[in-house]
Amino acid sequence: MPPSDVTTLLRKWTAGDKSAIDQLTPLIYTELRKLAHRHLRRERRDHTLQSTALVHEAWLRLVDQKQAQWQDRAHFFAVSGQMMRRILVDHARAQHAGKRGGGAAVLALDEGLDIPKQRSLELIALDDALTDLARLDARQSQVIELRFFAGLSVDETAEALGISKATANRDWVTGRAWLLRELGREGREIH
Amino acid sequence: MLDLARMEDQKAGEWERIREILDSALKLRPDQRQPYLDEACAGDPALRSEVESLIAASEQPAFLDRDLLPSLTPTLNMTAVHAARTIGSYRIVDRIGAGGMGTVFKAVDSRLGRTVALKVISHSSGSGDEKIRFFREAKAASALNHPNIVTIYEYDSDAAVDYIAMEYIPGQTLHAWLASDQRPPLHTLLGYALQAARAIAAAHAAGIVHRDLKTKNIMVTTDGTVKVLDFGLAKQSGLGGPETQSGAVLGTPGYMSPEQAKGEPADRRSDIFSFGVILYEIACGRRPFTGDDLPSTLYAVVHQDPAPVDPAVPKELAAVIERCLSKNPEHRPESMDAVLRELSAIVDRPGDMPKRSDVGRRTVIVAGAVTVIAAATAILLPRHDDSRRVTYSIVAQQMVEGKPVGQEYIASANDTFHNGWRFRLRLASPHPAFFYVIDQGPGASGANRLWILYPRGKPAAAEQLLTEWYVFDQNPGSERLWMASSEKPLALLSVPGEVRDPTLSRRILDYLTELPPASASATRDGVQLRAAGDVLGASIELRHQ
Repeated sequence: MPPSDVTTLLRKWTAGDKSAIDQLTPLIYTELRKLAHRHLRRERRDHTLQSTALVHEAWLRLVDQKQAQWQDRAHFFAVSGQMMRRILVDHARAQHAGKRGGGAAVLALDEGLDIPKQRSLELIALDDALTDLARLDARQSQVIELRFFAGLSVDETAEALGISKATANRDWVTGRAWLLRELGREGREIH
Repeated sequence: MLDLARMEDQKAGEWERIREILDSALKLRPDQRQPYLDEACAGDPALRSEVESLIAASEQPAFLDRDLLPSLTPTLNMTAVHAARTIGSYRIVDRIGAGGMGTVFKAVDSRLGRTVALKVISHSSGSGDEKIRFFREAKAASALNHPNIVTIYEYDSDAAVDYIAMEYIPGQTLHAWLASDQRPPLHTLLGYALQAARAIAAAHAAGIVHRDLKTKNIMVTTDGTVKVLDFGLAKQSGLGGPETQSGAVLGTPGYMSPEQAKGEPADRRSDIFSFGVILYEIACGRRPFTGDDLPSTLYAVVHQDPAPVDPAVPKELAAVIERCLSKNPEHRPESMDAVLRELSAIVDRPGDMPKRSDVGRRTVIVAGAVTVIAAATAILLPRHDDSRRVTYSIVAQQMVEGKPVGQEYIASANDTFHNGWRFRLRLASPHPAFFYVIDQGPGASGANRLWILYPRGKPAAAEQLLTEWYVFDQNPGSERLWMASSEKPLALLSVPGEVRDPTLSRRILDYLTELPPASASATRDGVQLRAAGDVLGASIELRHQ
């Protein structure tokens, strides 16, 4: 798909055309997945996992930089961040389940991909915690998700979610505290 | 099902309330939080404890990262995560510390390949005031170029954090040195203070006042170089910008000057006061102003005179300290340059300096004195003075983990040496002579053995000898260092190294002990020995644990 299509769809979506997202999503997702796999396959021993770098790369590849605006970027990163979370977490869970050798049927998403064990545990723990946080406040969980997986600043997060900067900042600061406490608990189970 | 939903609603509602209080609390200064919580959580201890646990959690120095998965889990391996993280063009290697303003990491500059210290503060944490101070530090310190001031390479921001890249300094702070089991001798510590004084003087010359001088802000590298850190509160004259709130007290209690304690503006003379506190701590082994809490410490700073300096401390040093600690800035030394001059004079006068400060520390057994008996000299010496003369001194230096630390100093009769010190001998003669140094001491087996330390090869005559470094024997017991000085080379002592033949060993010892007794007198450069005859032999006993 030539970049201009994605750019156009993105502009439409930012401008308020809700249907554009349905066409946009699979395009972005395909690209993200491709990039993630390429990166993970190329990993060196120290296993750098660059969620936001991958999102950034997808941004550069898919969208015409000359036409895109700041708001477009915020929205693109937002949706990409959410997708990256799913891609990486699903893979991590698959790996983790596989390593436990448990009963569940495990289909590795791809062969040859390997997130190191430590990293996959962190991912899973974070995903669980974010899911728990979403039960308390769905939007707050999204704020954290966007900051972590897409690397958005507080201002960009506010833009992407259509909330005020003060709210975004409050969500960030308090959500971070909550996560730090939750993840720091001894014996927190990984599911 | 319905109950579950209601429970979830209730939890969400509670969370909303907790969040508001938490948000407000985090915006306050730590000392303001308790009164706020008293009000906001009145009558609800469960709520309060919930908020407090969240505050505590958010103050952990967790590393926040936009490129990598966040290390929110302190229990998981932070280092592995750090290894992958980059900020700007720096690759994080390890976390060195977390301070009031941000976290400090060891990192590698991927462009130049050099190791740096990266001080990082995330965008979301910290108030506007703190941000301003953060970059003020960078600006202030980067304007200075001095070997004793930490070099700032650059400062910048990325999407998530602000950071300052600076010189990486391996070593430990003066604070740590003063508290450690291997507290350096006074002379060494004053050498550190001297370097710090030079740094402060340079800053003042550039119009920068540090305002937060303390032993924790003075780093000593592994080779004994001092670097002054943390110009975080530094004020640069001429640099505009908002001042801190009036009445806000900046600095570290116990080190800050009376005017700072009162909330008045600080200037160079405040730095001089803080430096005086550091000198006091070095000389006396304790702080001049202490209190159970912040207000009583500040009270002591403003109103109380410190306990007098110990009598063992040289008078000139005590005088400098006293003047620096004058409550009235007008009575302090007029500039850091003046302090520097006085301190230099004290430090560079080894003859008069007490060689060791035992203040505050337990002293262990003592090294020996010259064992040769001083004879009644004038009458017994022949009329034409064909006596040999040698002046010797022992120069000692501390070693930490096999590396020398601090300055060398001249050991005196009452010095104590722990394991990990090294020494060398300085010998001098008015005319060229052949010098010999022999070590007689307990070997590993406990038996007495001889080792001809010097010369190592073919002997040559000289007027001066500075031997190589020797490490004090690990074995407890007594060690005797023989020194011999001769007009002609001595065949008996011609084979360097350990004397393995017991017969030869016996003969050497007999020879040395049968040499005419020398008279000894202390001079500025060490101990001067005089004896009749072609050969002068003398020994020093070293008793060590």
